[in-house]
Amino acid sequence: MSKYYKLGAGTIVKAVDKVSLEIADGEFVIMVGRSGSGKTTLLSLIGGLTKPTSGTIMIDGKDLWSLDDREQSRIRAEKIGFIFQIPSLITTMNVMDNVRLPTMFPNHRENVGREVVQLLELVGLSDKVGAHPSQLSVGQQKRVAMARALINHPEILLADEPTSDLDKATEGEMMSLLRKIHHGSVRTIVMVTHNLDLAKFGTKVYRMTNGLIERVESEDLRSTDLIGEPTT
Amino acid sequence: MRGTPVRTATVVIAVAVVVSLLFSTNVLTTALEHGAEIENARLGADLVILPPSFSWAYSYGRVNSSVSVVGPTTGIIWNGSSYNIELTYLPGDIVGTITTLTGVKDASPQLYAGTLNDSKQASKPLNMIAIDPATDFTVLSWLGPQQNSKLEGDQAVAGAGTGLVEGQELRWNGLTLRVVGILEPTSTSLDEGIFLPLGVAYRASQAALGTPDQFPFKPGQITGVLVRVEPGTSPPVIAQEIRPYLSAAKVLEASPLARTVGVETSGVAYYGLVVAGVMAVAVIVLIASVFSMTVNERRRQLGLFRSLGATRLFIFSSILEEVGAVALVGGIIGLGVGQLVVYFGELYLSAAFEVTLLLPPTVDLVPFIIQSLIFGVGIGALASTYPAFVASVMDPYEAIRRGE
Ligand SMILES: Nc1ncnc2c1ncn2[C@@H]1O[C@H](COP(=O)(O)OP(=O)(O)O)[C@@H](O)[C@H]1O
Ligand SMILES: [Mg+2]
Repeated sequence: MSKYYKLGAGTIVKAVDKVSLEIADGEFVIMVGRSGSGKTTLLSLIGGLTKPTSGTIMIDGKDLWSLDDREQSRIRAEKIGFIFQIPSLITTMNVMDNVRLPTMFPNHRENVGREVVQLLELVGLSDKVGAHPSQLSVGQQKRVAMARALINHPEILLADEPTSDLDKATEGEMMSLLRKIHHGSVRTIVMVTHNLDLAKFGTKVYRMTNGLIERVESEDLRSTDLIGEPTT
Repeated sequence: MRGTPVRTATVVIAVAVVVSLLFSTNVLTTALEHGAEIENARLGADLVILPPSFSWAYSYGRVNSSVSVVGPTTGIIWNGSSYNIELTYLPGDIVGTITTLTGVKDASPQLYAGTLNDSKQASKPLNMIAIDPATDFTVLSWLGPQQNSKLEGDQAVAGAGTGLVEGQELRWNGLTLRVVGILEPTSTSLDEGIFLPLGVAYRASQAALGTPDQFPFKPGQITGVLVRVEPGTSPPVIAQEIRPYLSAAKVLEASPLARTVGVETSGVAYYGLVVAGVMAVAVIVLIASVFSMTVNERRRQLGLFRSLGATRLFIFSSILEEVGAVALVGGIIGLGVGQLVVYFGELYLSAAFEVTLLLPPTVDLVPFIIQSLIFGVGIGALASTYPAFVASVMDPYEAIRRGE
C-alpha cells in the first residue's frame, strides 16, 4: 500500500511507498527509522486512521476501506488500541473520562469505572483517577493514553514512539509494561521507536527509509541508521 | 464540547434576534388581524334595502356605514311640509334571495318594532328594533369581547346610551325582555336602541293581532335588509345586481369608507416576515461560519474521537446537538425579547396607525412560542449541517496532525 501527499506545485511526498507487510497474530513488531521516514503514516494506515492512496489494508481477512463507517469505527474502537506520538489526551476531561472515552462509541458500554481503575493500577496511576492531563507529567500522560488504548480489550496495540520524551528509567517501565501487556490481553503489538536498544524486544524488526520498509535483525542495526534524530 | 464564550454568545444573540422578530411579527400580525376583524365587523353594511315608498322615512344610523334601521315615531318634515307616515314593510323572504347572490357576503333583516316610551323604565324614548341574531353582523359585534354575542328567547341587548343595565327586565307591549348585554358606545342610533330577536317580535304581533297600534307589522314583515358585500367586490355593482330582484324596494349604498385596515396590516405582516427571512439567512451564514471556526479549532479533538471509534454520524450529530442547544437558548431569550417587542410594538402601532390590536390570549400564544422555538433551533440545525458535515468527513489522522 502507498500513501502520497501532494505538496503544492507538483511535489509529491511518498510518505509510505508501496509497502507490503504482513503482521501475524501474536507478534511484537518494532519499527525503526529516521524522522520523516513514514513510520507514523504507516502506523496510521495500519490502524485505519487514514485512507491509503493505493493498496489495501486487510484486518482479519477484511478489506478495511471497503467496510462502512460503522464497521470501520467498531474496528478502531474495539479491535485496535492506538497510542499516539503526540500528546493525545482531551485536556478538558479528567483521567477517568479520558480512559473511558473509547467505551462511548460505537457500542456504548456503561459502568466501566472499575475497569478504568484496574487499568490505571496496571499502568501505575491509580491515584490519578480524577486528575486533569495538565496535572500529569509527559510520562504519566503516555501511560494514561496506554490505559485508554486498552480499555476496549483490543487484540492489536499500535504504539507510536511510546517512549519518546521519557527518561531512561521511565522508558524502562514503559517497555516492561508493554511486554507485560503482550503476554496478557493484547495479542499483537506494533511499536514505532527511534531507540535502537529497544529493537531487541521485538519478534520482528523493520526499518523504514523514505517510505520504504525492509526487515532487519535487531543486532544489525547501527546508530547511523537513525541520523537526523530526534524524530518528530 | 464548548466553543469560546464570545462565539457562543454571538450565536445565542443572533438566534434570539431572529426568533424575537419572528415571534413579535406573528403575534402583532395576529393582534392586528383580530383587531381588524372586529373593526371590519363593526364597519356595518355596504347596502341597505328599504321599502319603496317613504324610504326617506327611515333614517339609518351609520358609523362608517349603516348599522341599523331606525324608524320615525311621528311624522317627518320634508321639503317644508309635514307628512304623517304610514310605515311600510318588505317581505322577509327577500333576505334569502339576496343571500344567494354572488358577491353578497352577509344579509340580515331588521324590523323597526316600535318605541319604548315609559319613563319608569327608561329616561327617554327608545327604539325597539328586532334583529335576526343568526345573520346579524351590525349590532351584536358591538358587544365587548368578553360578552356572549348570542341573543335568544326573550332577551335583548341595549345601546350604550339607553341607560339600561345588564340583567334589567323590560316590559313592553305585553312582552318581558331581559337585557343580557350592553353594546359599546358607537355615537350612532345604535346607542339609543333596544334590540330583540325577530322571532319574539313576530310572536308578540301574532298574539296581539287586532291591535295595530301596538304592532303595525305582521309576522314575516321586515323594515329593511342590511347587506355586506364580499371583500374586493364593489357595493354599487352589487346594488345594481340586487335591484332587478327587488322592483319594490330601494337599495341604498352606504358610504364607501375605510376598508383599508386589512390591507395595511397585511403590509406590516409581509414586511416583518421578509425582514425575519432575510435575517434568518444572515444568521444561518453567521452560525455556519462561527461553527466552521469551532470545528477547525477542534479538529484535533474530533480526529481523536474518530480514531478512538466515534462514527461519522456521532461527530455529525454531536455538532448538530451542540448548535441546537445553543440555538434553543437563543430561542428562549428571543421569546422574552419578542414579548417586549410585542408590548412596545402594540403601543407604537396603535398610536401611529390608529389601528385596533387585540392580543391573543396567552393560551393562543403557545403555537407561536413552539413555532418560534422550532424556527430558532431549525436555523441552528440547518446552519450547522455544513460544519458538522466537514467535521464528520475529516480523515482522522489528518485531523490530528493538522489540528492544533
Ligand atoms: N498529512 C500530511 N500532509 C503532508 N505531508 C505529510 C503528511 N503526513 C506526513 N507527511 C510527510 O510524510 C513524511 C512521513 O511523515 P511521518 O509518517 O510523520 O514520518 P515519521 O513518523 O517517520 O517521522 C514526512 O515527510 C511528512 O512531512
Ligand atoms: Mg512519527
